[in-house]
Amino acid sequence: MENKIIKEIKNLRTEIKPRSEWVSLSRDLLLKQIKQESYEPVKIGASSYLQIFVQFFRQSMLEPAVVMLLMMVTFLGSSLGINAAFYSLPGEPLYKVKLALEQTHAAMVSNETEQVNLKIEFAQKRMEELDKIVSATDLPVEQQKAKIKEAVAELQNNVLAVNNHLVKISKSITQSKVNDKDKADTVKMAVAVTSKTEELVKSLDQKLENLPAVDELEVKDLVAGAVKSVKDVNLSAQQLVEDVNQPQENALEIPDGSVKGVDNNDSVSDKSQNTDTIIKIDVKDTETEVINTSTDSIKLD
Amino acid sequence: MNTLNFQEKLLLLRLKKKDPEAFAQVYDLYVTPIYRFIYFKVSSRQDAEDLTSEVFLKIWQYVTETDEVIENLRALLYRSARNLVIDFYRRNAKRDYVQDEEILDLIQDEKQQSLLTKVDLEIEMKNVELILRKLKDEYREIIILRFVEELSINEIAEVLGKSKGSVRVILHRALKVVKELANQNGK
Repeated sequence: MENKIIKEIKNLRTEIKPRSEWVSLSRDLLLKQIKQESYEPVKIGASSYLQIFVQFFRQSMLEPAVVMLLMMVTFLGSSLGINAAFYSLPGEPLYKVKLALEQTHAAMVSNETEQVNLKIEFAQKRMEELDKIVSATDLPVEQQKAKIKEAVAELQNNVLAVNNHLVKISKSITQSKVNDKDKADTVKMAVAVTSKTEELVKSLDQKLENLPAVDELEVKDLVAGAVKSVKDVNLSAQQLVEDVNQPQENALEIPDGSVKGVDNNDSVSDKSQNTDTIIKIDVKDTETEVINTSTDSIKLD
Repeated sequence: MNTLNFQEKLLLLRLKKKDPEAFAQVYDLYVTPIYRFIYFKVSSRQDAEDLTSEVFLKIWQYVTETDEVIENLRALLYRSARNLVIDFYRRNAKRDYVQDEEILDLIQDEKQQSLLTKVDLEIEMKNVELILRKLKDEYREIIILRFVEELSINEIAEVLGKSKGSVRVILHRALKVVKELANQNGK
C-alpha cells in the first residue's frame, strides 16, 4: 500500500509542470531585467577551477568511504613507488628515490656495527647495478658511460662510509669503550666485511677487464679508484679484527733508551719520510704470558 | 565526482561573475522543480508562476552580492522558494485586515475567485494530490522534496534547516498520515 502511494506521488513529477509559454516569457523577462545591471566579463581561469576542486575535495573528505579510498590509494601508490624505485638504475628518475630510501633506512639504525653491515649491503647493491649496466646491450655508449660513472661514484660513497664507521669502531675499541658482547659482534662484522670486500674487489677487477665499449680512461680510472677504496676497507676490517683480539697495549721504555721491538736504526721510524707506521711492542702481562709479538709497518706512497 | 554537482559549481562561479548565460542555464535547469515545489504550497498556478519568477530574481541578487561560499545551489533555490512562500502568506494575511468596502468587495471577489480556482484545481487534481493538499505544510513539504523532487535526506535537512534525524522522523510520520488519508479516501 505504501509503495503504491509513493509511486503515485513520484508520478506527480511528470504530471505537474509549468506552462511552456510562461516558462519562455518569464525567462526573457528575467534576462532583460538582469542584463540591465552591468556585469564584468567572465573569465574562468585555473584558479577558479582550483577553487571548485578544493570545494569538492573538502566536501568529499567528509565521506568516510572517500577517506578509506584515499588511504588505500596512498598506501598502494607508495608501495608501488617504493617497489619501482627498488629496481631502478642510475640515470632513471626513481634512482634518487632509491638512494633517499637507503639513507632513511641507515638513519634509523643507531648501532655502528649494524650501520657497517647495512652500508656494505648498499655497496653490494651498487655492484649489482653496475653488473646490469655493463651487461646492457641496448644502451648507447655515452649513456652507458654516464650510468657507470654514477654507479661507481655511489659505490665509492658507500665504501667510504663503511670505512668511516670502521675507524669509529676501532677508536672505541682502543679506548676500551665497548663490552665483550659488542667486541664479539664487531669481530663478526669485520670478518663479514673482509669477505664481502674481497668479493667486491674481484667483481670490480672483472668489470675493469670487461669494459670494451667504454674504454675511456676516466671510467677505468674511476673503477680503479673504487677498487682501491674497497681494498682499503678490506684492510681496515682486517685491522679491526686484530684490534679486537689484541689486549690493551702500552709502550715500555727499556733502560738503554730504545723501545723494545723497534729497530732504532731503521729508517722506517724517520718521520721525514712519508710513511705511517704502526708499531706493536712486546708487553709482559703479569698474569699471562706474552701473547703476541708483532711489529707492523705500512708504507703508503 | 558527480557531474551535476560539478556543473552546479561551475554555474555558481559564473553567476558570481554576473554571467547572464549562467543565469539562463540555472533557470532552465531548475524552473520546473521550483515551480512544482511552490505549486504544492500555494492555491493557484498564477501564484506559483509569480513566486517562481521571484525566486530566480532573488537568487541572482543574492549570489552576485554575497561573499559567502555557496555549497549547494539546489538547496539554496528550494530554501529561497520556501521563504518566499512564507512571505507570500504573511502578505496575504495582512491583506485580510483591510476594511474599506470597495476593497472588501474586491476581496470578496478575490476570495470567490480563489475558491473557484480551488475548485478548478480540485477537479484537475488526482487523488494523491488532494491527499497531499490535506496534509499539514511541514509533512507535505517533506514528501514533495523526497519523492517528487528526489532530494537526499542531507539536502532536505539543508533546505528545511533541520537535522537529518528530524527529517527522517518527520518523513516517517508524514507517510503514516498519507497512508491513513489514502485509506479513508479508499473507503
